[in-house]
Amino acid sequence: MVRVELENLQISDLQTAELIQRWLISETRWISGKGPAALTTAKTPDARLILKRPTLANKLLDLNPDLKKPVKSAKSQKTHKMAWVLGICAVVLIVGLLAMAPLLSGPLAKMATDDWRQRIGKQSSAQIEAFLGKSCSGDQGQVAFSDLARRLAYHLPVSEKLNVKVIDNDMVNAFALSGGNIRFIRGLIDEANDPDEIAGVLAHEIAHVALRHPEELAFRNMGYDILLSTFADSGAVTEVAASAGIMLVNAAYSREAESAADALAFQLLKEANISSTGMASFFARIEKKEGTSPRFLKYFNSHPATGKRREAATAHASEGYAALSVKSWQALKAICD
Amino acid sequence: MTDRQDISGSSSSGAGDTVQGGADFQGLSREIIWLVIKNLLLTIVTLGFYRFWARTNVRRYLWEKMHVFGSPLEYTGTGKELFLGFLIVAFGFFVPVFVINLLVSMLDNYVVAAIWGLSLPFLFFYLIGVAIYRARRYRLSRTRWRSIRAGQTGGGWTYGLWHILLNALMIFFALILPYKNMKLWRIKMQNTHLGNRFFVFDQDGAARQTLVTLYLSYVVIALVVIVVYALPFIAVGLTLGGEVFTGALSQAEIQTQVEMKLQTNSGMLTMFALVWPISLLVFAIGMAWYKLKETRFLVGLTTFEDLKLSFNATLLSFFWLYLGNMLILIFTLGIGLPFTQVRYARFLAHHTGIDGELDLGTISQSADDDLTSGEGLAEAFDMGAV
Repeated sequence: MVRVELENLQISDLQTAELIQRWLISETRWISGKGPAALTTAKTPDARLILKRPTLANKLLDLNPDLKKPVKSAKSQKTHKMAWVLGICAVVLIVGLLAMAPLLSGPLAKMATDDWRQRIGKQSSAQIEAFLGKSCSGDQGQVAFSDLARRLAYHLPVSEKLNVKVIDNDMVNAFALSGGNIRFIRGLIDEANDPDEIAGVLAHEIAHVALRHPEELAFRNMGYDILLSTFADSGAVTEVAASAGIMLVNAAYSREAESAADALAFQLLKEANISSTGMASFFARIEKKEGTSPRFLKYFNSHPATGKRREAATAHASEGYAALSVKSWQALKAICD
Repeated sequence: MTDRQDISGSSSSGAGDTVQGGADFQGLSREIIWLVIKNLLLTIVTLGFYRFWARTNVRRYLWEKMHVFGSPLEYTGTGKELFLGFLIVAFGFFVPVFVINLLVSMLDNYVVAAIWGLSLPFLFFYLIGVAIYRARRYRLSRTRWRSIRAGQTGGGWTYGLWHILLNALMIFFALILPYKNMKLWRIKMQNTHLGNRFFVFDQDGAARQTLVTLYLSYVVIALVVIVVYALPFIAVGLTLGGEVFTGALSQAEIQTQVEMKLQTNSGMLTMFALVWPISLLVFAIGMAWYKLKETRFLVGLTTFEDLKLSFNATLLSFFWLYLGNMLILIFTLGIGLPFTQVRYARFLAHHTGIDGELDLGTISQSADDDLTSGEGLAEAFDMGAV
């Protein structure tokens, strides 16, 4: 039988009414939840008083607001302290790597050896070929394309060995990869109205190569990989949440990189004496196609708003010669045939 | 202010008080739907870091609903302890491994790279055994029954050695399986205690006899699988007649004859196509049957004081449990894991028998295990399931 008397809980034998124990209500703790309620006392934490219904425990809650707090022991305090210390270390490591990865990846990308750059570039181009298809082998088109790239890259402060190829797929896109590798997808060439538009995009990708953006991304992802494999569990939920976070961070850096590449591209076109009006008209066409997407999605977008890019391209547009002769342009158009 | 309330069981336990009965799991999947949703949302919001507290919440429920001799188990572990265990392994194991990896790749010396590359799998494999043992120690030390602490003694490092040694032998000699499982079970059970009393394995010295019986079952399964696999070949041999086996025909002649037979008899072709899936199915059913039998024997050889344990699940009930749990995991994309644990706990309680009376007077409280964290390694190797 349990009786509440003043600040005490009196526990006595049901038959003989003999007092077994007396617990201070302020020291009493409620340790398990639903159904039968288990009580203990901070003085002898091994003691248990199991109540068939939680009615009494609920009443005690009014008398002792700390009833549901855990009983503190030397061990639990040690766990608490160590969890805080190591938890702070983990936060420092995570924040440090998140902050350092973008800061360090730039200088590391500039220091990377050509060997390393080529190896990463080969891996990425193999991936692109596996997903999108083989590269096209039209000889004259390839000559025209490589020649255009060489003319655009000629005025770069540091000379770049470029390897440009067209991949046979309907997608409208182009990629700059590590080690001077640039891949155009055929859809983009089909979509272009004149060679100036191709020159605009190519100048943009060459600018990425010259600024070492692909290498920078590779280093950044290495940093995130270490974080993910150390701190995330293999659960699908965690993985999705973490990769969404990484996408968000990467997209922010990528938008910055795109603007820098655009700026360098205008300069390259101007110095190569190639008309840069193609870039503006190309952006205008993409903008019309894209339509308007919800505003919040812009944070996930790896490229700056097309409208902004078109405005910049229009502002920087310079006159020049046609990027390719009619014959070369036809050869490039037919590179995948 | 006065209040009266019944106290379940006897108010205090002294010498002469005995309890009996069995295990009874009173939990229901629908009772934890909100708990699972809450755990899921908080885990997403915290980028996965709530998972330690989530797991603890589920365990508290599972333990509380498991009644032994009418008294519920109590789980006293905390999410903080799991979180700390995880951090200790992250800093004490993963970060050093990454740093060494980086140094080795920078050194560019293939001898060093080869030594590191070969020793890493061994280290991982060894740590799996250590992780199993330490996770069990943590869970037992956080389990109370009538406030009596359970626990596990013995070192995880020793168990890890046995684990890697016996599993490595399995690669060369698969027949060691019954011995391996009994040995590992024996180590675990003999180190398990409730209060100051230990579980006993093989009290009557019947383990050797049991091992022979288990070996026979194991060999029978192996033979059945081999026969099922060989059946189409035997059938072909029989239809071709004895010439195939006497060596009177050349290899090429046998081949043309087999091809002819296959063309004229489409049933035989189907038989060959089905031989792999069918023998795999027979193997799976056979191994499940063996595993149940083994568990029955190993549990039957385990005693605690005057209590004899037994396990009586049938292949069919095991199959339903397994199928249901698979479907739950597939359709909830793994989020429904706690529901499968409720089903599993009910299955265990339903099929585990505890015979005899327990004299509560003989058991007294054991010293508190000084573990301050838990299951970091098990989490790292993705074994922190329950």
